[in-house]
Amino acid sequence: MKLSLSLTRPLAVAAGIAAVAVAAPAVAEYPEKPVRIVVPFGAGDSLDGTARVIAEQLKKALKVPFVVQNIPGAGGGKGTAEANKAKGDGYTLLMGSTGALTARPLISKPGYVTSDFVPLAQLVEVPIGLAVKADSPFKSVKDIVAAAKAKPGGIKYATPGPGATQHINMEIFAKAQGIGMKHIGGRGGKGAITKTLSGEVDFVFVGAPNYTGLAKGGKLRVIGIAAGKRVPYFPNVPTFKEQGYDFTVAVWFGLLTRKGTPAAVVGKLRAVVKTVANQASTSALYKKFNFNEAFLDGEGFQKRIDANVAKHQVVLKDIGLIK
Amino acid sequence: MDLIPFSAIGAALGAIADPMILLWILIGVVVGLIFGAAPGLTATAGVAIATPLTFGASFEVAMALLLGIYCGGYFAGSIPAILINTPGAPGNAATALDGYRMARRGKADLALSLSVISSFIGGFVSILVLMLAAPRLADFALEFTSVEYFALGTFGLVCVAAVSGGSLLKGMIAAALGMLLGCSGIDPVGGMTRLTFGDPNLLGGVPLMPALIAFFAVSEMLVQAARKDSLATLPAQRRVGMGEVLSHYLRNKWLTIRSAFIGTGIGILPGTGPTIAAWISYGESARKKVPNAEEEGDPRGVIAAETANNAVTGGALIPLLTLGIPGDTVTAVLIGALLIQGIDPGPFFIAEKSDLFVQILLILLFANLCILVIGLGTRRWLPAILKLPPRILIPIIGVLCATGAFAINNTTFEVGLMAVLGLGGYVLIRFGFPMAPVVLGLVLGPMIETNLRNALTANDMDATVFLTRPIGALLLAAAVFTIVWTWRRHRAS
Repeated sequence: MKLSLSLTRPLAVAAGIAAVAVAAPAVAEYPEKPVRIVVPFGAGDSLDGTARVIAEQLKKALKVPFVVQNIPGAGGGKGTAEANKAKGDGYTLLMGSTGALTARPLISKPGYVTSDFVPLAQLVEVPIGLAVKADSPFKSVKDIVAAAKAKPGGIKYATPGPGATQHINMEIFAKAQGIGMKHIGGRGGKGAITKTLSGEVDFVFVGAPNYTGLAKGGKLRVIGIAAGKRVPYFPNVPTFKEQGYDFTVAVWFGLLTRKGTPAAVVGKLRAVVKTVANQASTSALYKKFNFNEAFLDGEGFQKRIDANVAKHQVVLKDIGLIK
Repeated sequence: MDLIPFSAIGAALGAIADPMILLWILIGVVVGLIFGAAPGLTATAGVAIATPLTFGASFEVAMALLLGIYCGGYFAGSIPAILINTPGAPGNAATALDGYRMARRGKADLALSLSVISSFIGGFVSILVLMLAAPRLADFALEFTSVEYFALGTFGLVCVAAVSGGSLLKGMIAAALGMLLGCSGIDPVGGMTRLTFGDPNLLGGVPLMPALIAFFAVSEMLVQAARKDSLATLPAQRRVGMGEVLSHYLRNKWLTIRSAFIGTGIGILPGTGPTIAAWISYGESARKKVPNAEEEGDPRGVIAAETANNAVTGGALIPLLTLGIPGDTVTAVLIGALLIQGIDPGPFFIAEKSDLFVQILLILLFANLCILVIGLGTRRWLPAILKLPPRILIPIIGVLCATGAFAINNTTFEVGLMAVLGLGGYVLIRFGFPMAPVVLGLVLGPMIETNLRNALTANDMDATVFLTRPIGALLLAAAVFTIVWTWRRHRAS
């Protein structure tokens, strides 16, 4: 069959119009192709675990693949910058965490600022805990503060790395107590623990779930949790507050999208993430990782991010990471 | 071994002997082979992608799949390394040095066979060590502080710089250039940004995989393109019998055993991995000079690198299963998979869950047997790739390199970086600089710098700690000895 030219052209125009017409309500159809979740840390990191759990649940709810993509480097800065290059269409999401999102843009120009991203929901929190080697003389947070006062600069501690939330907050604590300590980066939470086990540092300050196996096996002693209340997996370890220090730190993980994402898509994503985050099957998976569920909706998450940025601005100047 | 009761061995055998479990191990190994052989995809990525699939699976099925990918992935990177000078994963880069030379001399079959059997031996020895001495060795790993890591990094770098052919001075310059590249990004101790030229893409430093593809595959393509005449005259590939392959192991039994222990030992150390293990083992093997190794390729190099590379698997599981601390990047991902199974690995794991521990050992053993069978079964037809005329083969490698660099982060930046570094590598080769120390400088530079500065910070800037701690002092003394020895040998010849 041969179509005459006169017929082809109107057909093409019609097809074009149809395409536009189909494209217009695309927001309502979101998502119509796989969605990528950028995790700015390596595979196996706890942020990665959170992302993979939520990706599985979102896939079931929205019937398109949610693909987790790890882009590690620069303490989360590299992957966050990469997510910032995407179009604001809801097809690239960011698994954001405290330090990369709120501290890194203050320290250097990583290719994004905090306000480049629109929060969808905070998902989990990891409470931070202080642990020492099993044979350490320190039995409480007070012992450490006293030792640091007695010998300024004599106490050494490890966190995942310079500029990490754990490092910034331990410096906040030290400043409040009027003590100075030496910081050594562990290139990740497990690396920081290794430095404590080998005796290179006096204590480690990383996510408390990291300690469970070693504490049970008698290699580490957890002596303080920087959370509002005790954590279920260390029922006998008092909080900092119980020991007389008003100090809470948590690393939070949440899902964000690039700014410019259509409001309808943001609305749909917020609603779906809220539903899947509060499902029993999601909680069960988080529980296995010892994560504290800490759902905050978009607005609540935004407030928390803003508060973190304001706090970091002051401390980073104090510890010399901002000139 | 006294920790494991016989009842546990029986129970584990019963669980693993299920044909479905064996099938899952085989599937894991095949998936691992694909991830390992494709440049840009690594065993770590394979295990990370497969982990959510195990959320609903039993312990045996989950471990069968994931450990299969682990072992298969570490081995398979050697196939493209030998055939087209493109290491499939960073741990196989050292294999490319001698393996590729052998392939170009018609000995691809021998090189592939050696890589298969060496991987098996390395894997097997590391399983034995994991079984017999895990808790004690984990305690030994904790003797390593920043001082020892600094000394180990320095020793490794000096070894490779000294033996990589050409002059000692050029080797050292090449290593320094690699370390300079490794300085880019966020300063790992102070947290400040340096040498990024304002490009946020470089904040994370120069990524290893694009650099490896650049310095090995891209530079080599340019070298080949520049000497058109020799391209057409590759000698015919020669098949080798099993007897000839095994004779290499009889002649080099000490090298093989030493490489297996180097690999296992470095696997045990948290924060290291197959790349460092393979290079240090390779450096050790290359101390003994073989005539014409520069041209012909030395089978000992393939044996050393591949044995150590796969021995990392059992080694890296030691701190994971005894302390809950991963020995390399794959075991870091495995923590999540174990947590989902309700297992929080720690000092009690082997004693309390001895049947699960034995299951892991058996799965590893069977995975290594799968590699042996699949590897030896395919070694004959893989070299057929080399029969392709260069005008077809080189563009294919080019596309493979570009997609590999892209696949790492799904970004085009890595592709551009690969092209620039490849060109730089070609210029260096033209001026007679060896490539191996550049790559190793990039791998070990950050380790050396971070640990030097951390060691000094932790010890009130007292540099004598490098002499007073025995392991560190020994390694540094070995580094100095290597430099003096190489220098004297160069003067003598």
